[in-house]
Amino acid sequence: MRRYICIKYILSLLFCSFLLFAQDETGFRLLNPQISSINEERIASFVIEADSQKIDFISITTDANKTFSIEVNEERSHYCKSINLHIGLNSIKVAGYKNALVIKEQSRELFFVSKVDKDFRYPPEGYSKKHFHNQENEKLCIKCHDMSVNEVSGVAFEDITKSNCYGCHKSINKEKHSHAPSVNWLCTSCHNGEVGVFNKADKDRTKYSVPDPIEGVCFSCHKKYKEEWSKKRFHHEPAESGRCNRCHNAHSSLSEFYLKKPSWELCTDCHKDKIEGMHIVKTFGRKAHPTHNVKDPSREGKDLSCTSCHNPHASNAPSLLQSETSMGLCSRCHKK
Amino acid sequence: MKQNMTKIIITVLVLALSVFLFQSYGVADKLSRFVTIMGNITNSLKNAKHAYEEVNFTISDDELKDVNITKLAQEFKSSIDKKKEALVLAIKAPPEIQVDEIREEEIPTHTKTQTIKAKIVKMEDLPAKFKPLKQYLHEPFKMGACQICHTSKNNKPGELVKKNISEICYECHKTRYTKKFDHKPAKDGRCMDCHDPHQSNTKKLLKAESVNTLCLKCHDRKSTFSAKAEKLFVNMDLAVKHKPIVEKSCLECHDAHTADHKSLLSLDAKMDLCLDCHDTIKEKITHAKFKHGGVNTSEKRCLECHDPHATKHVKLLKKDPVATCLKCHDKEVKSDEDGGMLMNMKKHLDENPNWHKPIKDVKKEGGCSACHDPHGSDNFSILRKSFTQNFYADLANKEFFCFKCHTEKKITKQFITTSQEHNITAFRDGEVNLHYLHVNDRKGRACRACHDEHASKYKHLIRDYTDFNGIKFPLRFKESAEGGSCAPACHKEFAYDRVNPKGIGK
Repeated sequence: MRRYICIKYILSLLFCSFLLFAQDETGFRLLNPQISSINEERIASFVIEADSQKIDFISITTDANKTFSIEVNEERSHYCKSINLHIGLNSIKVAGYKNALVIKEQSRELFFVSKVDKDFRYPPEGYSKKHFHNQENEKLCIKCHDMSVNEVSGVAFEDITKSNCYGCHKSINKEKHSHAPSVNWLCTSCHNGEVGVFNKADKDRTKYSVPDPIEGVCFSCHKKYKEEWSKKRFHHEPAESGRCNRCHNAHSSLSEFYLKKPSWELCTDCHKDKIEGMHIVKTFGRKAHPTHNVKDPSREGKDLSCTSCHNPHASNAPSLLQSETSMGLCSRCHKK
Repeated sequence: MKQNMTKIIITVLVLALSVFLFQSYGVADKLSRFVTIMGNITNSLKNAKHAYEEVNFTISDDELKDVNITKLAQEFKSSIDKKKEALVLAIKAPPEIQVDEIREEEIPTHTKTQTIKAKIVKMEDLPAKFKPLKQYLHEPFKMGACQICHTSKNNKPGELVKKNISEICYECHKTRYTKKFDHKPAKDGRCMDCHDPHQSNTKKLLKAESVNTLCLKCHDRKSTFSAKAEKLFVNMDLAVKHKPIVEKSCLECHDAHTADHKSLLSLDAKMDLCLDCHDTIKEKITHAKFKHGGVNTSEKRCLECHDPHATKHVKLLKKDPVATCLKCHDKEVKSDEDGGMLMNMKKHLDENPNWHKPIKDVKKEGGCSACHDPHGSDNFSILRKSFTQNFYADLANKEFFCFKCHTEKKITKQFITTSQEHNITAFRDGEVNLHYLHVNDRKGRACRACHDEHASKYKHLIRDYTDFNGIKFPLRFKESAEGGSCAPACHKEFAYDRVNPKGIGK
């Protein structure tokens, strides 16, 4: 009797799993990104395994109502697409069509963290960082992609499209200001597979982890700053803790100095109290000193921003001011 | 009292002034230098070698009659006695030569009968082959004292006093086996190979018109095909000859008889001997901040590149200027400067067809040494003039070495009016000088950021890779009909056009 129940139980389990399996098989399977994962880059790579007999068309729709479509044909089984994310929670729908009829629909919730914006620095509960480049996942890609590193250490590609990373990650470098190692696809010079104090958990989960804090990697080229900043009296926390990538995007960015946002916006993401109110020279007149939206007289061709007066890395002056004397600071612009 | 005070004050002032002058003009220094110079002069005067006096006269019969051979012998003895003491002190045999081999100063002894028999040969009695007399005469011959060397037997008038001719010579000329190396004929006692025992038109009674012709009688490379030719024989027919040989003689460096160093030299052949005369080079080799391993640590030193006699190439180089350098730089060589590895220049030149003009046009521009000083320099890479090692260089503060040949204006002028100016850079977008844009800035780039100073695959010596922080980035330079494009690490692909400007730098 007991044995019968046991067999029955196993059989029912098997049936259920078959059902699950069968459901996944109807049309397509979403291999990446995984459920409730965190993204640190603006771009999420979607990898979809599709059955060309059941569906002939896949659409990916972002919550900003942007739709991308992929045609399914017999020659391929896997399809990849990079999707731009916005900061915060993104809900992206993937639908499979056959003869313009929805066969299967699936959605992914992704959280694009912002290390600068206080509101989006920490993900909701249940979300965690999921890594793609481990042996198991790479087995799926190996049919179409060369998953090895073909980068010669210390020598950039003459033709960047030859890089094995380029094929899937090319959109990472498309912005105006792009960082030389990144745009030359010297990926492993930073993605060296090491981990730092802050990301010990990533060890062995991915082949291409970047140490956090990242400063060791950055200072290997930007040598002079290490010395220069260490001599200063006051340090900005992100720079001091060596987490350059909080403000800088090591790949490419719309803003100069590879900042994740234009500098004023970037600073006020953390220093929100400075957005409104009388930030500077409260006593003279009623009008506050501008902090942005005007030309910067001290830096030709550039707009005034926080960095006009403050040094974002280190300074000998309190409040990280660019000059040690108040006269020196003001006279940067107010010459007469 | 008052007067005394003023005197004291004046003397103190004078003393202070003199001390001040003494200090400020380095009088002590100059004085000591003067003393050493004067010392050197007196020293060299004292030790100056005795030069042969030119004998240029004919001996009359009356004079010959008056010669008293006994008196002559006594005089000879007394003069030698004086020298003897000094000589005994001076001659020290090298350890490998036995002491008895050094000939003691001996005086030719003449018995009474010999002296009576001594016959002064009169001028007219000299055999016909000695006439007319030549410019330089051997002392005994001049005196007509033939019997010093010859026995006066009637049947054999030419027979010698001793069988071995060198023994006769050494009776009077006593430098033998005193130094480490000997000239083979001298060692074998073949004095007559070079010297004529009677008379000659050349100083030192040589058997040839000059020292050089005498030496070359044996040491001419053309005279032999043996494998040893490299070492012992010279070819003086080549175009470039070492000045001392031409202007003076072989004896400027070599000693004809015996010497302390190999090849019968007074100093070590590899370097010391050369630097004895070439003192500006000596200064460079010994005091330069950056030294060339080729001279300072190599096996053959100066002779690594130069031939001391004659060659086909400038500066007595063994090969043409570039080939000389590539003799060693055909592999990666360890740098003496910083211990890093220097590139394989031969491979680099072989792989890249476009060469920098000094290398390409060796005859006119001088090859590698147009930029590098092979004897050492105070600038890194033994460059003749300082050049930045950095990627970035502030043009305003630097004298760029490249401007020695290249027109500075081509680089430093921001805008070019193409219609009015000549000799303008081709690296321009319309009228915007792109050289200026790259170089003339606080963060201006050094020439080497984009150009390879030796050779390149591309035109204008554009590099294929530029080194930035230890990473090689390709420049990805493409040339079009009236311009080109670059996509280095510094920026994305930018194109320029001389005729239809693309708007860079505006």
